[in-house]
Amino acid sequence: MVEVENLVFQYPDAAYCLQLERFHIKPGERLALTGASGCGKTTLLKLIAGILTPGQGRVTVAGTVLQDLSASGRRDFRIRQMGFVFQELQLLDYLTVLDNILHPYRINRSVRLDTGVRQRALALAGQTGLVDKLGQKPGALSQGEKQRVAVCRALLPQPRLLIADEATSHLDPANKLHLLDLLFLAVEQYQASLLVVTHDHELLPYFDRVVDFSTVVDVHAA
Amino acid sequence: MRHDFYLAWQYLLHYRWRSLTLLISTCLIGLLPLLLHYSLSQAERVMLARAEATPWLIGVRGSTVDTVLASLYFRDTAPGLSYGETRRVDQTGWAYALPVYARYRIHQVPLLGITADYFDFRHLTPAHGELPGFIGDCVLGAQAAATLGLQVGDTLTSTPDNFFDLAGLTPLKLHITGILAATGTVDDEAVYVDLKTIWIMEGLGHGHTSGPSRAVQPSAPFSGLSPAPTVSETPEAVEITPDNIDSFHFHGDMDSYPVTALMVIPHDDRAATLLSGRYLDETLPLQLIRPLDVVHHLMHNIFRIGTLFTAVLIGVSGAALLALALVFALSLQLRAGELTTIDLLGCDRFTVVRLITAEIVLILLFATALGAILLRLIKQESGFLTGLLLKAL
Repeated sequence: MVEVENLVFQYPDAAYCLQLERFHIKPGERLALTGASGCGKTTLLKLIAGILTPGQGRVTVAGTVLQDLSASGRRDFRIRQMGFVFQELQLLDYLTVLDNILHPYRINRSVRLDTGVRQRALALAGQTGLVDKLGQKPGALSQGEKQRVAVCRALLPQPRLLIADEATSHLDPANKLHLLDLLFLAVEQYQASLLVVTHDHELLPYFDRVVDFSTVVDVHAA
Repeated sequence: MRHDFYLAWQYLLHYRWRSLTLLISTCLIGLLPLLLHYSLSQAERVMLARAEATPWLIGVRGSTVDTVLASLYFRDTAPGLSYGETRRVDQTGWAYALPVYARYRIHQVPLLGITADYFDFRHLTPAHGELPGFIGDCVLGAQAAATLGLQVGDTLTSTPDNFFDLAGLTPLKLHITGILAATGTVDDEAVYVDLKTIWIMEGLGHGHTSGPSRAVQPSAPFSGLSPAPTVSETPEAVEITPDNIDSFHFHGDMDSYPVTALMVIPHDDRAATLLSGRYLDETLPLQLIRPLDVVHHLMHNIFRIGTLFTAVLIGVSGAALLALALVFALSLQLRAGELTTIDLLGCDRFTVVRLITAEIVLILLFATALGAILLRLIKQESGFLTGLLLKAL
């Protein structure tokens, strides 16, 4: 599903450079990525999602080499093929739960917000216990509810690759397991791969494979 | 595009106070120059209509503007001429003259001394009651009645401006015999009495009243309201009744009594020309004034000031628009987190611009709608604006 080869990336004006020789995720695999803070986990997720572009190397997702696509092509690919649960959730205060879930479909011209998408959003809200919160805004939600909204938004396009960046970090143990169940269920339902960055070692046994990113990546002075 | 406006609307609704502030600011920036232009045009229309309806005025030589404003619009005062001039105009056979005495105010409302012909000339008819028939009677313009809260059958007592003003009005209890139908002109704002009534108030005529029963305290402005505490030195208001009306009389030559101006209506153009020739001599104390010329001149000056004011206003509006643009720019900085989010969710720059544009368009639309509603309301109350402008003159 994901192939990363000979990757070199450096943030503009940054003193450090990230080098990754090889990294992969199999189709349907549930992979947990751990590692010390600052080792480049979030950067890798963004490179795989096409949000960042590597200086060298190649990132292939579902058979598509991301570097071969234009910026808008990468954006369209990400919207259609991937779901991303961000570390800070990135919900918009002024939109209701339902509007937050539907938001990517309102701001991207490459996807269309039709009845089917709405019904899918309602079904996801039902599965995640958000039905009675659909008209509320994020300010009125608990942290766990916000996490579920972010997950619903990520799952709406029925992604082939689901990426979650420390999505469980602010949750209590019960909610962490509940969220993980949701992600695993969705992965199974959509036959997708799952890539989760986590520092929570209690969750690691639930994954098919765990990669300590510190051991595979080389971060050195540029 | 539909989604852009939906999201913009949700944003504006969520931050409603911020949006409302922007909306009102934008509305005022657009509305103020329009309002100024409209009120000037409206005032011009009203003033010209009244000036056109009054062919000529005779007043004392001096400021024609003062004479026109005092006798046509009941603003300010002008030096008076003698009532005898009325007869002299009538005797020419070229025109007839209507004396207007607009020197005083009664409870802040213009008090107009006129003759009965004035009502016919201005097409003023009573909506309630009847026109004054005797001295001591008065009739109120529609707005004056509303302002004073009085109706037919009530009384209105004139009071001196202050007790040390020896030239002020003698307290006289006026009987309200009628309320005039509204005309939408300054005629609605005045209290009308016969010239003789106002001369009695001035002390030029008097009656031999006796007995405290017919007197009221002048400090009680309207009958029916609780009277103010009485002071023994306070002059008592005189009431003219059927019993004492015959005792009222005037001393001296009535021709020498004062009026503010004469409204002169020539019988034809020839008569107008002949009459104007009589007042050409600049050594004469009186002059013939064509109100239309005076109002044209006045409005021309007002419009010149109005144009300057509009220019300043447009400059200020431009600066305010720049400030609004800055507010938008700063709000984009404040919304950096949100913009990052929608960028992460796949929104391109063009869509971001469209979203911001949709917000601006919505604010402009609502500001325009609000401005239109305000303008409509203001148009309905155009008399108020015109009145304000006239008061400012």
